Amino acid sequence: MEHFRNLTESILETGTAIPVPESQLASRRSLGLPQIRFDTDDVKILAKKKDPPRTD
Amino acid sequence: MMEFAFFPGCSIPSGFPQYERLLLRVLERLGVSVRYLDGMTCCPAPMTFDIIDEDMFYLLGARNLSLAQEMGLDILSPCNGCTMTLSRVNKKLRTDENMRGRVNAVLKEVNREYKGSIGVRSLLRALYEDVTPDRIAQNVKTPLTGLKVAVHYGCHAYEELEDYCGLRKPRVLEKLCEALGAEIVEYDSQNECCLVFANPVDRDYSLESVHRKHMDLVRAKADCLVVICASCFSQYDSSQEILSWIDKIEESRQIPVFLYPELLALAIGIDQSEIGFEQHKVSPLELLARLGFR
Repeated sequence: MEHFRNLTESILETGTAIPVPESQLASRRSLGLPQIRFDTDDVKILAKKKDPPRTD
Repeated sequence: MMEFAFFPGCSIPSGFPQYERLLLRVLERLGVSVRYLDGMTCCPAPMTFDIIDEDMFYLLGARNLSLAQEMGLDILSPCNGCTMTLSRVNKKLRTDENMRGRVNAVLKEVNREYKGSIGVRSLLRALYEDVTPDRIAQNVKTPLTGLKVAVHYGCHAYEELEDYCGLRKPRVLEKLCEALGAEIVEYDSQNECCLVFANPVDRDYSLESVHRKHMDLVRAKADCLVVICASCFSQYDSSQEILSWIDKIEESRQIPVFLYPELLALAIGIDQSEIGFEQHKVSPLELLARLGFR
């Protein structure tokens, strides 16, 4: 379970379960592939709004 | 020209950029244009939020679907796992008003709304239904005559397969391979999961499973295994190398593994040097030379 929980934490932190390493980003650039942008803002807002902190 | 919103997922951009480039070339050659989704998140991957936090699973999936919705395009996904997740979310939210209401109430916080107006297609389905085997066959320049192919769909493909071919035993990948001139061979463990997800948990168990499949392929006299999922590819390709290190498979009896678009590229005349075969752990070059590709 720990492995799968780590994947969810990665998604909330970086937008992706498997962050694209810098070397692969460079490789994608050299291959002329479109740059990809994973969202890291909305995902945090959604996680917070879904489970608002308790105030009682 | 058909157009789709392209959802590359996590594993292809992070592990297979050369394959990603090949996919774009093959699709273009077959009259399919794609536009990348900007600002996507992980689909989310099977075995993450779906087992830990169901609401977050639907929220993230719905957010991704809403990005394609803005583009007015159906999603094309080259990853079986992403296709399964996004299709599952789409189906659930189209039919479950309560869940759709809950999801949209939270999505509003990031100025998004799920409307259910777009569809999700896997690469396999797009090649089969939109491009079609007939059109692929018309584009073949060098048929793969004499190549005996065993196919493996990958477990995440079956949910979508049920939607469009409704068969317990699909013949989709088979027909796509036959369109290239290859011959299909049947084998026992075709429907078994590749177990790539089990690697971090029990590597011995997953290696045993790959070994069993390898023996089935040898018995069936398959020249190669054809898959449609990059994770399945990685599992069968790299695990055979490991099985040779531990003397379970003789190196000379390793069986090359291909992602279907690689064989498609070869048959429609994309130069072999651009396909990325040199990145395979089990080199297919001897096999390809036998077929006349050098």
